[in-house]
Amino acid sequence: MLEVLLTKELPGFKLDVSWTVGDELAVLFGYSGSGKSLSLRMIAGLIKPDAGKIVLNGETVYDSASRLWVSPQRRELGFVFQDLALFPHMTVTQNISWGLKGLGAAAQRERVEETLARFHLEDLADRLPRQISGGQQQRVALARSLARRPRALLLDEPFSALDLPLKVELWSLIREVRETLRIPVVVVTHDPVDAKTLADRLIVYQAGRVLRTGVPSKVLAAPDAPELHTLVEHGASFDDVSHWESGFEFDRPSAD
Amino acid sequence: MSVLFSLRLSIQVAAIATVFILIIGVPLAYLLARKRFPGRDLLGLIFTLPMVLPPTVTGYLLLLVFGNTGALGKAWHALTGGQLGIVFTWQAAVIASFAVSFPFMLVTARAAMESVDQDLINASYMLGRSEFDTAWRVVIPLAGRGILAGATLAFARAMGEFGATIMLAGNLPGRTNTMPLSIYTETMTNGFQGSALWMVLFFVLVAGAVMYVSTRLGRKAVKA
Repeated sequence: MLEVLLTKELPGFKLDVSWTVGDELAVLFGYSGSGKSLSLRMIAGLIKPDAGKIVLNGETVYDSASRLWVSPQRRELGFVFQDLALFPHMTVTQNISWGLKGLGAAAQRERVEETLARFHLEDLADRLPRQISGGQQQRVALARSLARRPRALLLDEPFSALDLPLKVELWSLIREVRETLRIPVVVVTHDPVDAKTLADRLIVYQAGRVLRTGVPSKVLAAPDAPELHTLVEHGASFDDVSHWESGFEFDRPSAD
Repeated sequence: MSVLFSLRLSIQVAAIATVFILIIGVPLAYLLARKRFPGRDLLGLIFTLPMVLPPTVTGYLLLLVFGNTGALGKAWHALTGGQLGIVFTWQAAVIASFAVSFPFMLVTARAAMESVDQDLINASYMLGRSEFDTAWRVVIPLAGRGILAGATLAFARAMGEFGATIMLAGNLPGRTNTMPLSIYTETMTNGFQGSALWMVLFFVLVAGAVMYVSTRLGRKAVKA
């Protein structure tokens, strides 16, 4: 469960939003400059809001009223960046281990192996990011953010630079994550196809405010804003596109 | 013989100066590149100033500080127990070389660290890593080529230091006459017949090699 209340003023722009998501796949949809990525980065702790409150599974990680500020390091969130942000000088294994510093050496090795296996990356363990394909890089980025068992997963425009086959692979990966892990997953996108394909819950932004939030069928019932029109006209449901799948399968973790 | 002494002294002075330039320059470049704090621009300005100041002016300012009446000169005096001051020693040549060469390292390393993608740093923080871990294992390695290019330039500049060195360390034969000073003395005494030519050739070769290496490093840094 992730509860978010945020305000932030920038030159010529004001963000003022409030929303809640459960352990579900929420899509933050809106046009460019509506404040989606800004919200995500404030939840992560990478940008400070002017005021507000962020509660993660009942634990407050930010509250302007009591001046509480938990650093990004201690928020225990998974974050996938638009350009993936894999460390170019580290191998796949080193990228994944980077987030496991708190574990002992043995536990760390075990967790890395388990993660590599789950994302079918065993054969690429010693490769550098530039030596693997775009789809493989995506899996490493997702694996890296999930290896440390975050309390929520945030993805910032993960699809915007992808061609269709990679997009479909990532869609199904994210769906698998959502089905196997009981954590809030928040995906930011400006693409209506991504939004409608993935969302359990839609949060639609318009110029720094929440225009509508809820399950897609409800949000799109009365499309009285351009953002909602875009969503109604474009986009398919996941079932319609699942046959586009590129054949990659995510292994479910053993029950532990 | 005296040529060999000057060569050895120049390498010793430049190498020691470069080591200190790396030890102090890397953290300072990181602070200037990645942190916002009051006085940041002033700090950057002070340490870059010797790049554009005439070296004799830098030497004059160093004399004010390290001379026998300067604050650090007095401290050195107290520390070494009534011995001669630091002025006119090879250590003074190291200080002069350090001050004049430091900006080359600072400017290059700072630019390299500024160009490290902010989201790589953010990714490291999101993975629970401290700023120190991130600086040491992400920012500095990724800026490595820039740091190396800066150190190479600084070393070359230190090898050629003349103006500040003659102000602070003098030109004492067999003690502080580094190669650039020897070239001056040789040419003034023996003209073109002396050993100056060999030292001049040596410098042309070293400078050429340094430019080649630092340009190559710079080009690869841009590509990576």
